[in-house]
Amino acid sequence: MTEVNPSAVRSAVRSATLPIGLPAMLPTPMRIKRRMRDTPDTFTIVLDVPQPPFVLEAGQFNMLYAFGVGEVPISISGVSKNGGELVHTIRDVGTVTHALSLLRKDGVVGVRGPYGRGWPLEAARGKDVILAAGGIGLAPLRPAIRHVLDHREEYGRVVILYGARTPQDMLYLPEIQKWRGRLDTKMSVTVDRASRKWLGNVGVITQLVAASRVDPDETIAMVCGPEIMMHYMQIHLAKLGLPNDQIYVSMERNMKCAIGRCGHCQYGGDFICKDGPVFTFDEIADRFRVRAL
Amino acid sequence: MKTLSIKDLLGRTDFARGMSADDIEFLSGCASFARFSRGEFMMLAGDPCDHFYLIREGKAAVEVESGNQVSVIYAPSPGDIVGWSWTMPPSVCRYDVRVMDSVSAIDFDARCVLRKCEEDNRFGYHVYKRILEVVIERLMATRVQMLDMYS
Repeated sequence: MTEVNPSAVRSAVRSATLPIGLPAMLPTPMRIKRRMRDTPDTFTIVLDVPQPPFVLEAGQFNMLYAFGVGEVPISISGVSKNGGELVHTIRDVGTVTHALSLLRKDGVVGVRGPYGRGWPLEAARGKDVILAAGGIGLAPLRPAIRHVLDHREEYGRVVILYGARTPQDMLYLPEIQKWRGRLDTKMSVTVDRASRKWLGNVGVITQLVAASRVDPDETIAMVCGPEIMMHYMQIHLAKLGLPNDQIYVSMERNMKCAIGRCGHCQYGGDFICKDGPVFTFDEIADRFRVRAL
Repeated sequence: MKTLSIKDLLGRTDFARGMSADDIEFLSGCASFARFSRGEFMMLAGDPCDHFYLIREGKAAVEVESGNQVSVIYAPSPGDIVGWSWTMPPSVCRYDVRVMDSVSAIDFDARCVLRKCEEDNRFGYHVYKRILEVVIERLMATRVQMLDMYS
């Protein structure tokens, strides 16, 4: 058997660099600066970037490594203006995410990325924009929402739709309140069920689409949430008159290498990690909601 | 300033879209304006369902009481029809509908509408078709809600 030289392997791994110059497979240790609990099963960590700025496209993801446990793909839900802080919102649903949930301030996380194709912020310039998120899908969409609101004059009518299971499951409440307070943006929130204390909408997110009042020929929709939610959103956006090549969705599969080599996230002829996670609905319509794909 | 009649207002709603002017006038003969204050009930489960409403302004909450807990399962807003149990016997309201935010609505006398539907089946077909659209939309939404899709 050929003996493997660990340093040669390391060197080979290092040389597999991304266009931005980061080693493709080596995580960078980053310290947790802050940690917040968002909902009973969801938390946010703010990481200190050792060599800022961390440059990314809204909608990209990182591979987060819980040392000794494993690695998971997590969408980037924010970055500070100077690129020195990186924000990830994580749902505690598996072994690795649970290990990450146990880390506190000054805990260290391994970070690889950013990876993938992000939201079409450039293509949306000058157009009406619908940004629709369901549940934790608000996390990957938040950088796009922030960009659009920070460059508000570059876009037409902006409509933000957010659906959650209950009011207690809503993410980023203080920020949502700021968005709702803006006079140049229409933001609607709905929950599936609520108690009497809740004074907002109750019902599915798709019911908010009809009131968007956008010009369907000049509108880009960015939709992020569970596939079932994106499925129904596409139906309602199509009813509004939006063609599939103007509807963008963020797909999620079991990403491992994140650079299109391992094949774990193969989705038909595409790799979600490399060709996505953001696709136009047109690109994936033939595979969307196909069982076991 | 010209005040719009019920017929004019009704003619501008999605509910009446595609209806002939004569049918809208016929239907508006069973309608009046109504206002409800916050906290007031537009409907109470178990009561005869002899009215239905088209919300013009404000918001209501369709509520279900289970044990000691009241859950809001849908929040009708402008453009929504509230109440369809009048379409079939025993015409009894199934849910409580409480006003969350002062509601201004077109109030339809369901018995009057039913009588006109019986008298003029063509008119009745158009009215029931529209109510069926509302029911289908609400059924689809309820099915999606049941999927618990954000979990």
